Amino acid sequence: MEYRLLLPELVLAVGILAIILVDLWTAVERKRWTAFGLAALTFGAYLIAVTSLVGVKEVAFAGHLLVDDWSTFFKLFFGITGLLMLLLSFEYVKERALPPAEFLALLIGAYLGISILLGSENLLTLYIGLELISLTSYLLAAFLRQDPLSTEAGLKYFLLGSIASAALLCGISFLYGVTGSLSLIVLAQHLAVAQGMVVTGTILLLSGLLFKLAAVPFQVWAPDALQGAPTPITAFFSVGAKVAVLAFFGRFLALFAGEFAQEINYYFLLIAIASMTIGNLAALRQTNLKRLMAYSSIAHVGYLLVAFVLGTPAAYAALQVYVAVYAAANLGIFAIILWAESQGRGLEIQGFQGLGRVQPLFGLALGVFVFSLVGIPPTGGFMGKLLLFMASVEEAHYLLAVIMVLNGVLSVAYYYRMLRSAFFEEGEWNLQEGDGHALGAVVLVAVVVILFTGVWPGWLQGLTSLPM
Amino acid sequence: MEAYFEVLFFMLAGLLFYPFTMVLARLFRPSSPSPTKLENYECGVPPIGQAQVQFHPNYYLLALLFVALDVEAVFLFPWAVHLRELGLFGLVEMFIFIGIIVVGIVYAWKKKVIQWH
Amino acid sequence: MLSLAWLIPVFPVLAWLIIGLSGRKMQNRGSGIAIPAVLISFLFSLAVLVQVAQGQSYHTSFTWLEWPGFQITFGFQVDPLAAMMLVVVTLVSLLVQIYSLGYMQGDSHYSRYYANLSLFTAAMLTLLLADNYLLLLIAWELVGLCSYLLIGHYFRNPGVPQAANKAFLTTRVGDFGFMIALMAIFNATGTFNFQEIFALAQTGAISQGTLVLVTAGLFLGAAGKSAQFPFQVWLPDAMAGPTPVSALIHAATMVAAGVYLIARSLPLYLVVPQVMQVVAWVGGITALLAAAVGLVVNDIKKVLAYSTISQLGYMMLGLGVGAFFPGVFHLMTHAFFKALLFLGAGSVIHAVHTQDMREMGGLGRRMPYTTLAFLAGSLALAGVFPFAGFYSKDSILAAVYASGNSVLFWMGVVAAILTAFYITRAVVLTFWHQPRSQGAEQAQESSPVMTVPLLILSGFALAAGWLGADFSGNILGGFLGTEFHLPRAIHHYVTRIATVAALGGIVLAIFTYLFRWFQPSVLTQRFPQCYQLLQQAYYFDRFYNRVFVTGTIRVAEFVAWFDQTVIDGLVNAVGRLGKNLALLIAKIDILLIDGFVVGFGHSVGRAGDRVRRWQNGLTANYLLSLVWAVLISILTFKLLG
Repeated sequence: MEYRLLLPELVLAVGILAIILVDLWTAVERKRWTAFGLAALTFGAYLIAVTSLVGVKEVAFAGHLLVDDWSTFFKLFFGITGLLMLLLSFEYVKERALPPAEFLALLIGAYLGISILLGSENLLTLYIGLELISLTSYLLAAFLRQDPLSTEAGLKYFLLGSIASAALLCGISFLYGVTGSLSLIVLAQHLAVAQGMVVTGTILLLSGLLFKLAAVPFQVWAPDALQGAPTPITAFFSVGAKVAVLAFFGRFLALFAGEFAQEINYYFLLIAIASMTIGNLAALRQTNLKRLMAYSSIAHVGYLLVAFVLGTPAAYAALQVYVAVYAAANLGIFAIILWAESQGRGLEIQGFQGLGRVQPLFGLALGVFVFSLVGIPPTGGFMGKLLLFMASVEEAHYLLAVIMVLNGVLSVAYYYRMLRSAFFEEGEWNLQEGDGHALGAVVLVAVVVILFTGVWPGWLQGLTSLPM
Repeated sequence: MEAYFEVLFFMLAGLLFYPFTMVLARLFRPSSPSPTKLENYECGVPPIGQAQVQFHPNYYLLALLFVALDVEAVFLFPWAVHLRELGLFGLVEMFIFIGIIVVGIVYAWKKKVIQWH
Repeated sequence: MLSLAWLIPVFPVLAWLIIGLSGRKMQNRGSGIAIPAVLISFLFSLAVLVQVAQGQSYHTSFTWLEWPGFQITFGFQVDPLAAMMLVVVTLVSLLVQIYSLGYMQGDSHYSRYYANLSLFTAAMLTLLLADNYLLLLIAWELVGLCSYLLIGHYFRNPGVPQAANKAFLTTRVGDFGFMIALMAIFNATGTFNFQEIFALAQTGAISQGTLVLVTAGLFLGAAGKSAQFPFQVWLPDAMAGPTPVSALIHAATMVAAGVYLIARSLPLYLVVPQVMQVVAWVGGITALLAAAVGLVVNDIKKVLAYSTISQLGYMMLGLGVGAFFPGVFHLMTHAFFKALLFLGAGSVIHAVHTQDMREMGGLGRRMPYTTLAFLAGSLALAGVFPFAGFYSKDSILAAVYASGNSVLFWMGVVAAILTAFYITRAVVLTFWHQPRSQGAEQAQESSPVMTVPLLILSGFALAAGWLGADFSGNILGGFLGTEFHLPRAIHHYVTRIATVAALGGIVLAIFTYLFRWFQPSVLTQRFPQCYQLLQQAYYFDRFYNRVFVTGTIRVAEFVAWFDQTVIDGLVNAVGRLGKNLALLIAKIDILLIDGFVVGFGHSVGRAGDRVRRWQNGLTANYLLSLVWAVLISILTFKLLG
């Protein structure tokens, strides 16, 4: 039965409907618990459904959906981040008096899009997945209706996103025009030769995807959208669609061959270097935490794109480690940002002042996250970078390795400012008796993942898989 | 490159069509300007006030709902034509489809979107 | 016993975990866990040393990571070099921690201090036990991290966070070289293991170019860690940390790691003499320049800091001329006498509450034990017979002399004179004459918990050199398995020169500062530029600030500005072009085809208006820049293809 392969996506769809419907007949004071409980159930069932597909490699629905270990790895990854997202937003929804059911339905909708995108073996499926992510993301970015920044973020994201969607569709239609098919497998036969329309179509398609990644020069939307969006959604933006598109790249870029593959490689090389350098440099002067993290995520996308420039099995394996650790560190930092925000500390870097004294465990965790993002042992971030460096040196990309290392040095400067605020500066805190347990749980999971990966990266090796 | 000549031809033809017809019309039609001719055409009814008026947001909500149902109908037609070949599977699938849209309507109903303020 | 060697770093790690996880419940009991842990490590290290001396060796490894394309094995090994350093590190760490019982008493972060010290020690021990470069790098970074935490211990004091940050960033620049070296070596050999790499290098299986890159990269890392020229800037600022931490950093852990790395990798360096030359010259220059700064500094800890830089330069100089034994020998003796000097200085600071030597004086009678200990350390540093520094410095100078590079040799000798001079000056200013401040008048001898470690270390500062002396049959050289024999004539010649240099420096300083036959201010007034140059440590800080720090900030500002102005401006320009074009068309329209296709002209004119409105909304700029991005991407491809 083909539907078995679609089970994870079906679970999410049913979850969305259930959350919306149940919410209609739930008393106001129980809405939050009900919605979050159902969402947790949904993600739990999603994880179980995905687990049942481990080891399966099949194409279904007339070549629209593909299930293999590569997509299953990322589905597992997203199932877990989904649960963490629930923990991140649990208190936030209450503090900002947001409607929980709608918030979660949209969030899970974005995850449904991601899941479809991961399994797409056809450009149409890709478009549906991507558009589902985009539409929900626009709404989520503008979810704080009273906050002009949030509305602005949603509007900007929407306007720019539509251009990207247009480029993507245009590219798809070009490719369809030349090849007469939307199937990736059929496309692969045409992608070896760089002929006029194929190049234009491919670049338009890639532009639409790179926009989602916020890679330079398609990054313009990211700082504004990430700054204005509700903080848990910022966390989601920094790992969600980006990682899904990266996973799709793993499959898509493997289709190219010959001279055209070489050109694409150079293109990605340029974008990777530009992203990490410009992201890091621009982050140096940021004072807003969310904006800083936005630029930092641009820089990290640059690192991750290196895996595709190399295209070796070692590079893909490194990508998976890097993604897992990067997501852990990012979600962890956002959990701490959320906690500081809930204590009325604002979103500037100064908001962290005195954190190390007031909440030493969070301070310590912040240190772990920052060190992981910078790439200092014994954190997982070091392992991710190291594996990536080794993969690039193996491919004799010495200059690239040197640029990556130099960028690592550069990034110390702005990440360090967070630590300086947290440990070396004094701040006034009026601790409120709120339970930060949900956020604490996210921080704990993130720290464990990062340290465990740093000491024993082999544990991911059993899970990782290659797109070919 | 020759394959693109067709495209070029269509682009040029499209560009020239508008001025061509305008010139043609100008040549043949009698010229007798009057204020009435400059008014907006709205089903023959004389226009009232400005074209740019603010609509109540409920219009949009209703319009959205309408689109949801409209699209549903678009899918229902081909399904109905082929119902026999699709069999039980098709029947169940369509009910699921309708069910999803019904959820939307129920949601709108409970949220009092359909109620006119 | 030897098979349990891997447990040595585990005990301090456990101590760190226990103290760290108990948080505030620990209060002031952290030392009660940290000290026994390091004591056990010390005893283990001693046992290991004994067994290694009996000729046993230890090596264990396991596959740590299997990855598509490669696998990495990790392991621990104990060879004579590691065994010796294990004992030195654990011993110094133990004494520092005991000493800290007194020094850090009543500190508000007492337990955290001990937790960090434990981790610091553990990281250094792991570094010593590593059998491959990757594990060494991981431990290396941990050492850097801990030193950052410890230097920043008094983070409430002004300037301290900056000092910690400076140490961290400067060493990371060096680590950049280390990373490059690591990648190059793995690329060439497919392994990180020392023995395998050395074997490949000696058979010539690694290309000369790669080896130059690797050794140069490693030296960059070592120079950063060991504060060699031109990375020396962080070490004097690192004095902002608690004095016992300085003792540990300068003697056994942080800075020793760099010298250890070079000593460990010496088989690689021996294959590439060019890089060896660089190491030797950098070492010699550092030894000389840092010693000269030591002459004019008034902060007692800074005198010792520059002295450390200078002595590390000696070690690099020794290793740079290919002399393994003298370099390592000096590393060992220096660990003892420098720890002693710092702890002595700490005892003084603890009593006087100032670090400025101009406010000390006359402490000799008030603090007899401290004075005695500090004197022993100073004599060892100056290289006076029969103190430890005499033998080790002597062997380095002899090795340099034997290598035939007379410039480097005389640089070393001049540095020795300067060393003797500045340390004598420090001793006289601190302990002789009348007290020059109220603090100095009321100073009292420190508690036994501080003076006993001082006296123990004094013993080592006196006797540690005998291990490598001729009369003892050079036990240490035999143990390390390197024969170091120079012709007797050279030895005697060098010994004579070194002794004259040391005594000359001491006598000069005594005449100047003790008997005051000569006013140093005459010199400073006569040559103000020279004095300023030394006072400002050759203006390195200012230079780095101007060039790198400000430079990077400028670039960042430029990028931000570029993002906002040029890209937007470009977009605006394009918009304006479009608008003008539209207006032009509109004008043509109105003038030439007036009354004809009016609607067409209107719509273009309105498009122009819309373009003008575009320029105000940022979003529109973003949109245009996106379009440009797509267009440029396509163009790039067309050009590439």
